[in-house]
Amino acid sequence: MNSEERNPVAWEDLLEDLSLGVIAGPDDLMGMGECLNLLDAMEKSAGAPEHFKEGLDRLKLLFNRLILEDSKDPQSDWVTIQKLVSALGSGDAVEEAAAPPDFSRPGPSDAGEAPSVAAAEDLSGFPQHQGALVEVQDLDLLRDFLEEAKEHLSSIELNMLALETNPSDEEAINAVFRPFHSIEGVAGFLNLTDVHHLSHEVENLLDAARSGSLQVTDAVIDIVLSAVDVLKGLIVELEGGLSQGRVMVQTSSPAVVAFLGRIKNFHEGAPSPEPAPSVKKIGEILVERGVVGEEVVNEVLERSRGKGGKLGEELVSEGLVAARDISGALREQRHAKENAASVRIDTKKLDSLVDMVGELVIAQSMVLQNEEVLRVKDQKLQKDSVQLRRITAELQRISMSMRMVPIKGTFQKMIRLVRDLARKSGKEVSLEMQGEETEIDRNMVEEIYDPLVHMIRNAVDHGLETPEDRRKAGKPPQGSIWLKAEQKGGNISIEITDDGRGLNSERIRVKAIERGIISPDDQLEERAIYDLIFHAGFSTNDTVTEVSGRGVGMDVVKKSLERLRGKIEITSSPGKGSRFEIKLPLTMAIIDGMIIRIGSERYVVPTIALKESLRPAKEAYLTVQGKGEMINVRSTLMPLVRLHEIMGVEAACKDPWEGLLLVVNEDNRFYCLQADEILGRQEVVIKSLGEALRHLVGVSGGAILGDGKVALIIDVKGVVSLYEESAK
Amino acid sequence: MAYKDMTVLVVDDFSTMRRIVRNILRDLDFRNIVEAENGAAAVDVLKSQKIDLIVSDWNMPKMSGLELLKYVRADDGLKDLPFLMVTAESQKENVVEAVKAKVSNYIVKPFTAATLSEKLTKILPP
Repeated sequence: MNSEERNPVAWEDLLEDLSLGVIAGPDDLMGMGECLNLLDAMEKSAGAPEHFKEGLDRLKLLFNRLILEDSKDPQSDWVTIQKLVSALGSGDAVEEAAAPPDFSRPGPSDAGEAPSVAAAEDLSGFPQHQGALVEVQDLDLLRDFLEEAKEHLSSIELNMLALETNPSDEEAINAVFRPFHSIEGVAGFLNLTDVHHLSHEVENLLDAARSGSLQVTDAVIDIVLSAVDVLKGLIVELEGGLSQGRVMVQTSSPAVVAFLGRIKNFHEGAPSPEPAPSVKKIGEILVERGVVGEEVVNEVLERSRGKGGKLGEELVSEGLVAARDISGALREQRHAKENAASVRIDTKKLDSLVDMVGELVIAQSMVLQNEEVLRVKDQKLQKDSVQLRRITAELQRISMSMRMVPIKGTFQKMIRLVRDLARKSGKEVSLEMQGEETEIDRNMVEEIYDPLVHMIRNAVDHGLETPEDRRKAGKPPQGSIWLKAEQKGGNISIEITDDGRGLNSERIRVKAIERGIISPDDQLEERAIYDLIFHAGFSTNDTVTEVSGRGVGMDVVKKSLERLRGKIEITSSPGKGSRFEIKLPLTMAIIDGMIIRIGSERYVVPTIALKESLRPAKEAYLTVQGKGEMINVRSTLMPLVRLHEIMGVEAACKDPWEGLLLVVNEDNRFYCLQADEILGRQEVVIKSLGEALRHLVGVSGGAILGDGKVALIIDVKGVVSLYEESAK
Repeated sequence: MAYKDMTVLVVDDFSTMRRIVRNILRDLDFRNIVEAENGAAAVDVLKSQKIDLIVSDWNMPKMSGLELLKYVRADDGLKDLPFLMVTAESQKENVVEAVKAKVSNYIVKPFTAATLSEKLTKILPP
């Protein structure tokens, strides 16, 4: 092309070649191709007389029609071509040389119209036997085709994802177009009318996208993906027939008809390139960031409406906003768009996904730990089962992570709360947050909101001093509250720290004695005293706040956290402040547990409940009159809870100094649970025991251990209450 | 040359389609059939053995049928090789491009042995 443009061949020479080219007949395809090339060259030729242009176009049209076999009468068209060519040579007016070409059946190439606009019902060439059944002859070929088609469909899904992130990626469009094209082709041969029909429509759609006449919007992606689904359904049906040895193909199945209707609606409504509604406009972002006022944005928008300029450019060119601010806002917008590439899923579906994955993990260990399977010495089986474990573990991790959301949303609600509380109480408070990106099980987010509010409220109302008091104490007038989230191992830790006056342990002790929670003789550690504020009998609204400076509804807080299998710990130092640390399991579906053995049974004790484990000396065991068996642990007497008695099983170790004791804390009292031994630590998936066993006290659920056997999860609180009841 | 003595190169990225074309060619008594899964693979075949006829699909990854055609026509040793382009009804208008690039002829999917035979008599030397 380029050489022709630089050094154009003379019009006359080209015309002579063309005259020679049209001597042969309309059957000579290669000759016609050569003629078309000549016509192209003539169009570009410097010496082309302007008024011959129409003749050249008409010739091209005729050649195209002959090439595409769209001509009704090739011979007479050919004569017309010859007449037109000789008219070009003689310089006669074109109109006299030939009758206008027959346009009654326009060839596809004679207009720039997108091929995609074929309406659903206008499918000449497709047999339209409504609901007719056609038998497929070559089943072997069909089987191969279905296999290949399935592979192609999965490649389509992958490539659609690429398209979703970059809708103008031509290679990606091609990669989706091609398999539809191939499927259409083979389906045509095999008489799979519906498959043919459907892929044909999608192919047209994608062809329009390929040529740039159709923008790949979310709607287009939706259509293609649902076409994949419908095709998959058709393939499943065909496979069903294959397995019965006879394949009858139904035409116009309801799914296909519905899909074709959808494509038709799309074409009628198209094109509609609509931006995702959730993405903010640049103007909104700028106003939100305080870069520019809303009125200015509206004014500039109004002015630039007719000009078609972009808001950002207008604002910069008028000197209203710095270019840096615009690019920052654009970045935010882009970021938002990227984030918008997600799907909303019903949480019920997510929950059942997590459940099913749990079932899968269990089923897997049951199969892999099956004694018969274990006996198989096949290396491949071993390799494959390692791979299977890896996949299910990853699947479990992913399905869990799908339920996780950043704690940021909950934290941010505290900003407003602190501001309001500070204003009301006349205190100056700064709130600092850390680890907002820490993720937490979605189901826990709402559950921790109330406890957090409680504790923040207490910190502001009672923990922090007034600016005056703080000055007297030599502290800055502004009090601080730190809210910090962090993932620690299998737990989430949330800390609420203030630099207020701290807890007054002496006053808490006095109050607890007054309330009859402890006796004046009780010698309690500092921490045990702090824990008293969680006691249900401790917090009553009237006096407690003045006495302890804390305690409003702390029992409620503790109960909520226990429901989440969480723990709360207090550290405080007088005059310097307090820290409340909440520990929560990462998710409600899994617990980090100690596997213990009692006799031949195994149980799981949530690690979060354990303080320590020990084997006592024989001398540490004593019986206290009226209180039963006790263990002396570093001068603290702890009741001995014989787990095997509560669980009703036979233990291997009768005496506590033979076995192992698990120290747990329940309602500020320590207990020693007796077991035979600790087998190990493991994350287990909690399985509910079902309706019948749901109200069983002392057991919170079941877990499947590595060997596929079930172990009960011990509910420490329940066990302790059973113990207390039996002690009475 | 009789069909049974000719070597045909069938180019298509979809193996089922290659099999269909192969079956039809067998019905016409072709016995030597070579396959390639795209234009680039076809070029490799052309370099390694003598081919008497190419039946190629249009849409293929890596190297399309049109690109293969252009390669063949630009090669002195291959430029007269009969080249039959397989196309789909919906893609037919592209054929004009192939005709300009000197394709011997084209055939629209789906086709029968009879149609293929008809096309072949047009493009194969008697």
